[in-house]
Amino acid sequence: MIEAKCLVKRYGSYTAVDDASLSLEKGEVVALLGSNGSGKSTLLSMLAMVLKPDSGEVTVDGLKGKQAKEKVAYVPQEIVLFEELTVMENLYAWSSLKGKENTERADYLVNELEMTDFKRKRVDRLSGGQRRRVNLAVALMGKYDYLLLDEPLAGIDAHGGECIEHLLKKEKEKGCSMILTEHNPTILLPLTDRSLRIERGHLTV
Amino acid sequence: MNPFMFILYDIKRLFGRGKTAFIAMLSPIPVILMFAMFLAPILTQGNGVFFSGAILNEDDSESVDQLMNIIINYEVKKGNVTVYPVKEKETGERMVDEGKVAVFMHIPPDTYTDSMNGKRAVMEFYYAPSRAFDALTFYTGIKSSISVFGQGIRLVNIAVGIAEKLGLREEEIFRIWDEGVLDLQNVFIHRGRVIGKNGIFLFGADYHFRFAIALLFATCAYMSSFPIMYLTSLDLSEIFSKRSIPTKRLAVYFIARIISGAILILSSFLIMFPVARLLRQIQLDFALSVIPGIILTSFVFSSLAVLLGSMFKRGQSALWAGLYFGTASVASVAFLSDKTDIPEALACLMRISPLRASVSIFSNGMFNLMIERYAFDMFVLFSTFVIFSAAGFALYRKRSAL
Amino acid sequence: MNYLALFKGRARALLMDFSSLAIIIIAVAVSIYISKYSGNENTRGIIIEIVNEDKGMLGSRLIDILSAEETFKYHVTSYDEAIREVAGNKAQGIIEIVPDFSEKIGRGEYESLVHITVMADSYDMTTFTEMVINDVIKVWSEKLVEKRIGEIEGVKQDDLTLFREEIRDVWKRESLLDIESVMGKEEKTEEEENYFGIRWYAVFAMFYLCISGTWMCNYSSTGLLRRVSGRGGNIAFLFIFQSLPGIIIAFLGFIPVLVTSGHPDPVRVFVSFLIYICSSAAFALIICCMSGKFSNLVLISPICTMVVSLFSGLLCELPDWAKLWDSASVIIPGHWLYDAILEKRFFLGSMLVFVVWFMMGIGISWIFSKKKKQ
Repeated sequence: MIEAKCLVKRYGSYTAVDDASLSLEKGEVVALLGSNGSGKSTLLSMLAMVLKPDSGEVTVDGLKGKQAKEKVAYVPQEIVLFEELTVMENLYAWSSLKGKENTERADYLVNELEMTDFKRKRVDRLSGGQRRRVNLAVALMGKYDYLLLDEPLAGIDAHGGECIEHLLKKEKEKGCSMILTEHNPTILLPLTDRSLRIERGHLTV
Repeated sequence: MNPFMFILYDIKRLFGRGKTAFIAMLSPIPVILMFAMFLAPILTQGNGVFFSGAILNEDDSESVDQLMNIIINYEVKKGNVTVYPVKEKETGERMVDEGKVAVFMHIPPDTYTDSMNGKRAVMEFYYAPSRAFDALTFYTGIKSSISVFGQGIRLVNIAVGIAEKLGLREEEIFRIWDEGVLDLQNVFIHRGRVIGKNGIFLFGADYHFRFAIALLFATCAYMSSFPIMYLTSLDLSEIFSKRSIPTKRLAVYFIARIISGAILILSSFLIMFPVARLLRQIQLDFALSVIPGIILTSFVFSSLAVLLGSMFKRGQSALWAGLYFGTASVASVAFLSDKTDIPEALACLMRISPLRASVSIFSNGMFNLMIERYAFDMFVLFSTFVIFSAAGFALYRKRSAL
Repeated sequence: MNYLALFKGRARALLMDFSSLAIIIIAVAVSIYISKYSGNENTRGIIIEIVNEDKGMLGSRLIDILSAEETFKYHVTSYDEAIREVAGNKAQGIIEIVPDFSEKIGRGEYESLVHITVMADSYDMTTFTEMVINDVIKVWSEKLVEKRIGEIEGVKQDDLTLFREEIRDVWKRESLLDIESVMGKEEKTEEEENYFGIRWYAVFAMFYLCISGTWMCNYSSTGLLRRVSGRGGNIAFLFIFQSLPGIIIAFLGFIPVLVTSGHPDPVRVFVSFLIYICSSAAFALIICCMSGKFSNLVLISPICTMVVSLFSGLLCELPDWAKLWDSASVIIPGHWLYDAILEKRFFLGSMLVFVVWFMMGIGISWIFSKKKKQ
């Protein structure tokens, strides 16, 4: 279980997240909804432990720090890839897996996300939608129990969205817990168990 | 994944970012060409006659004639000069003005007797502005040695004074004078042997060339590290701060960056070094002694670039910092590294400066290897590499999403 | 298009960009320093270690003569200490007087009387070896002449003592045989003021315009040109108004440099610099278009600035044999500024060069924008 207690994040005088507490049970999929600038990405970054909160704490299965991070895979909203490398090279470079397991996982994700046609292309030569798929795949190249996704479908076409939805469904069936943020709740609604809303940094059920 | 693959990927990233890395690698070429353009006369030294001269000796003494023969024969034997005797001063000056000869030396009449009588005798060295570089180099060497010769004549005068006081005959006095001047000529002709070298003058005249070329190499190598600074800064602010990476993996990325950066800097050295060997015929064993210095310098500059890149959130800021730091380092090495009448803190900083150590290895290692200095400089480079790497990794960890 | 708003925006951006503004501040400081204090060569800070292993008296005599030289600082020490000092960069050379120095000179032998170790990582060590040889020659000459005196019939010990007394200051006196250089009639025959302060400031100013010109990198992109044409704007006017703040800043920095240089015709240099800096802005446009982004600009601009400044003679005098380069450099703005500093004619040439570079700059940015993919 991921548990967040009283998370606060301020940027100068502006409070992005104000006293947010939530929990994510094992196997659960939660949608985090909110308008632009509501604090979704900030909250998710703190849950993923890539952004340090000003106050509050996050625990994963009762663990903190490095051990907790190893259980969480995070898909950021921005495209965070090595632009000069190909899709496959990015998958191998970012993977925490080793040897044969690494190759098999990469091939699996390439197939699931239908990236076979461009897997040997440099990332900086891909379209926005293609890059977003690679961005997702890179995060999934490892061992994790919890998956945090920040607008995974932004800029993706309908078919791409279906591929991603299908992949996330498979992950859920494997027992992976997820929090995902989205503008449009309808697309990933079939996947979610419950939703939370955040507006101006305040979290509501 | 094989750690070696990380290095390959990082090299691909470094060279894959447009033309920046290639510009960095090739940027020494125009700089060296410009440098060579200014030093073309030195480049052609020893390759045959490089200037001609006229001479007019109006003094009829044997001693002055012998002295001139010593100087001229030496230069002619080296193949640096062809000499044309002229009968009138105006002829010699005209030949220079018309560009037929580069220099004209005029020895006035009574040069020998004037100096015998304690009166200053001055020879003229007339030269063409278009050949000023060669002419003035030759002039500088000959002036200092003839000056000492001329001061030595005072000693002979003192000896003659003593002989006169003792009431010796005139022939005896002249004999003492002639033998004294002969002694001075003998000393003059063997000047170089005093330090175990052949030649009469111009020893060490190219030290500033050695220093300049070494400083040039080190500066170009430093500039080659700019893409490393930029990419590191971008990596930390845009990639590693947004993805959680275990410390071990972060260390692998860090080491891969330092190695790939060192390879980039080494590539620029590989372009510069053969050019240097062409510019100056450096002995191969000396040249080889510089190679460890080149490798270590590459690592030092790479780790420094990673450190600077880690310090700044924006790639542009990292580059500015690199530019100012580099300029300050180069300026201080150029003007301060050999001085001791500077504040102790500054002198200490110069001693441990990796840029100074690199310049010292190149300039001394290529021409004049002193093992103790070489060892000290290598130690400075190694120590700064360790310090920069440690500090760089600490910042790397701090700025990544750990 | 509101060109005035562009001018104000660019001015604000440049004044807030402290990184590039520091270049002008440093340039002013360095140029004023060069104008006021240049020409003082200082080798006195360099230490030379002397190791005297001579068993006789002549080694000490050599040390006396060396110490009278004002060129370097001398320190007599042991061999190991000397090596340590040089290795640690605390000294730049070692003069090792061999154990049989006096003996060899007494026998009239000259082979390897001293061993010299010189560190070449110093621009000022050029004269060192010649100086050491000269000073050994002095000792040697003294001994030889003393020997000749000793051979004179009737000479007494008092005479030799008198000789040794009289030669104590002989090396400080004028040489009885000297050589003086005279330059040929074609060029100036006396040393003239070089105005390095003004010249180096001009180089720095060009570099400043290049390195602060990341905004000019956009001039090679299709988007900007399309947008400007779409609004009925003119790319040349756009460039002029946006480059004006940089030109003004460089110009303001030039005023104190010109005042401190003491040039006899400041109006001429003032006008010439104005034209030069405008040409430099056009040159900077070309450099920035070629670079495309700051990471390339930071590598290309110092090299290009150095190359054009060297060719034009601003950075340092062109070698006298390089007349061809001097003629070719008429296309470079710095050549006409240099002529103005030397009080030669410059106006027509510099204006022509400015127009050519300006047109080239606009033309090249247009070409680059056509070549670049969207």
